[in-house]
Amino acid sequence: MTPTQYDLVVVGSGVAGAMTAWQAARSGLKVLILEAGPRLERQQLASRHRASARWDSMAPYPAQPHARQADPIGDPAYLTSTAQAYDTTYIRAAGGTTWHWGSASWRIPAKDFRLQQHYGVGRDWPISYQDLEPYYAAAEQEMGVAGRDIPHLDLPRSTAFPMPPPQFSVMDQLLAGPLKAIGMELFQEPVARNTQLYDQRPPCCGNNNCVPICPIGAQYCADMTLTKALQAGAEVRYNAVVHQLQDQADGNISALFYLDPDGRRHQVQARCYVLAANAIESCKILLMSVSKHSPAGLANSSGLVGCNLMDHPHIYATFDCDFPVYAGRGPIGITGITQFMDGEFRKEMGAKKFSILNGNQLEPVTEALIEQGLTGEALNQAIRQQAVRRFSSYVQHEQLPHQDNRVTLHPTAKDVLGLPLPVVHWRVDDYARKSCEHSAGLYRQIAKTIGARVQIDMHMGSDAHSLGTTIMGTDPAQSVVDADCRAHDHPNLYLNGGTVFASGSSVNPTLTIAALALRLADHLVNRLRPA
Amino acid sequence: MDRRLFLQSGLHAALAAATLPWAGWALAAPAEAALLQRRLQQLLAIPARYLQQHLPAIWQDLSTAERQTLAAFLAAADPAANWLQDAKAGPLLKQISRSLYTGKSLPGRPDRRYDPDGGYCRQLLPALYKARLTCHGPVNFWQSVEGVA
Ligand SMILES: Cc1cc2nc3c(=O)[nH]c(=O)nc-3n(C[C@H](O)[C@H](O)[C@H](O)COP(=O)(O)OP(=O)(O)OC[C@H]3O[C@@H](n4cnc5c(N)ncnc54)[C@H](O)[C@@H]3O)c2cc1C
Ligand code: SF4
Repeated sequence: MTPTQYDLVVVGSGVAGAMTAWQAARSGLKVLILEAGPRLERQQLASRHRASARWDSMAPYPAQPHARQADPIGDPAYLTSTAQAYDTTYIRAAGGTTWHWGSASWRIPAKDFRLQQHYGVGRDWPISYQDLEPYYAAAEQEMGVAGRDIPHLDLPRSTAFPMPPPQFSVMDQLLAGPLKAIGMELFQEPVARNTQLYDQRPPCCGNNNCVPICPIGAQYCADMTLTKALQAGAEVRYNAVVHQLQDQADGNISALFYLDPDGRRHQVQARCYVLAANAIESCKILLMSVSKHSPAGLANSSGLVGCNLMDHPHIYATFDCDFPVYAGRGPIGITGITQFMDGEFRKEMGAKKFSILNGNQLEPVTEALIEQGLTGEALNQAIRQQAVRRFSSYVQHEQLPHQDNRVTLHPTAKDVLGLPLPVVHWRVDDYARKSCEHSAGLYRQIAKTIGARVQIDMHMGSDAHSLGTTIMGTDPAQSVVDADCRAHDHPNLYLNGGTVFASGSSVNPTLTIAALALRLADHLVNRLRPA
Repeated sequence: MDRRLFLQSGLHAALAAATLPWAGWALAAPAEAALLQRRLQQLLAIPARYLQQHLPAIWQDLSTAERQTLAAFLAAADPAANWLQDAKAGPLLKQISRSLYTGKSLPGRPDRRYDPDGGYCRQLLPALYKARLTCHGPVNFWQSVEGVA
């Protein structure tokens, strides 16, 4: 029996893979999705969250031994770092990391595609905001984005937001006035979270569980697009860990190999191959695919596979106010401060976006008070008093691409399938560091204005936005993929996701990942569909 | 005993231990457990009903050595003192208090919530802070400060 020949094999069913597979399948291509992890059940995840003492985003997502995940608490040995700790998380299961994301769904402002041109730093993308705009609109439609225009940002739109923005919480209403008085206006961040019935999903009911799992699916998850891809005719194989692609002398990829949980090796063939396994796992696959034609791994004639890792190093602040703010009513985040997302200062330091966090403060406040030794009614009173007066916030900062911030393969440590573990070398440069210090000053100013005590955590860790590791560009010596996300070295191999970003901007990346994935699907449909 | 009956009674005991809070006490040392409950009532302003409901699971997670340390300390402790500040028993009592207030398992034990609704702290602000995982139905608390002094 001859093996099925697919038009397209998509590796990974996160938002990048699901969007491409869905669009390609409904345009008539024969698509196979290979997913390292299992399919998950929302109800089961919600129950696991309820049963767990862990507060972190990975708690309901236990790894399969064959598909270990970036989980600094549950599995710190999997993804290790050699410089600064790179404390990202990601899920390896159908639907990928959007199971536990916060759903902030930003377009990258037009200027940020031309950082070098405008500010003389970083890199320019080989595509523009205008090239991506129709795909942004389509991605917003599919994910169900609720938002409003933010006047001072360069984000021209061809369509209205699919849904009106969420309401301000009580806390936002209380903070908006004093912040505006010092020139920091609060805006609702665009979010893929329903503010009304949309796409057969209920509106958000605002009881604050969004991360690690929205129990009712009011918040978008790529699992929803994966379902549509399957309905459109795409096939999927779960628990299929892709570990190698095979190239020929002419650069074309001739086959792909995956391992099942028992370590059995399977081969798949297609006309084109799309890696959408995220910015770390996709690099792993390329670096593991060593051949006589590609001794440093696939797509790596430039030596840049894994390099230029960018994220959004963040700092975190906790405010204790003299007045109640009632954090915890509504979803975990609604508003942000956008004044520092652009300006001449970008010649010297990174752009940034502040987010006001609306997370319920009861648990951390209670634990701190017990640790201090409070007991009896005094403890209860202090909990009542402090929990409603505390809120937190974080700022995510733009980081420039550097060759030595990179993903490599561990020289000796391997998983149960015998595949090397990923290692990250990551350092926050002065450009981002300076901006972090400036943000700390702004936090102190905010505290003074609202009459609060503030504790600032200069953590500067990962925001779980891994970007740039197969960077996009026009010069094959300076980049890994071209403007169509195609590997310069391999005519039928594509990279999909944050891995191709040429700059990180200061905004959350996932809407751009989805838009790029839909644009890639259009390219593939034009290339592969019979005339 | 008939083998089937024996198995059945074992099953009933296991079921009872898993479902009835007091069954946990009965299986453990009742005097020590009761002492702990009495003392915690003195230490923490948590209603007896809540303690009765959730303390058994915490008790079962304590090691024999921890139970003995606690029992000896609590039998002799000065009722007027703040035991959380005690160098010896304080850390363990803090862990138990934390488990009661947050529902989280004691450190170093298998990951679980003794109270999946998030512990007694959630009951201090009932109308404002709903139990964990209540995002269902049309309830919308965004704009309301109802129930907050
Ligand atoms: C806590 C948290 C909050 C976040 N909040 C936001 C937010 O508010 N806004 C925002 O824009 N972004 C947010 N992000 C980031 C966002 O989740 C990611 O940008 C997005 O999920 C990336 O999508 P992806 O498809 O590229 O990768 P992933 O979602 O990671 O999907 C990759 C898929 O590939 C599969 N895979 C991996 N290896 C293999 C292999 N060898 N073979 C086959 N399949 C494989 C995985 O199982 C997975 O399904 C957040 C992230 C975290 C962790
Ligand atoms: S508050 Fe968060 S978890 Fe609850 S319904 Fe809204 S999006 Fe879902």
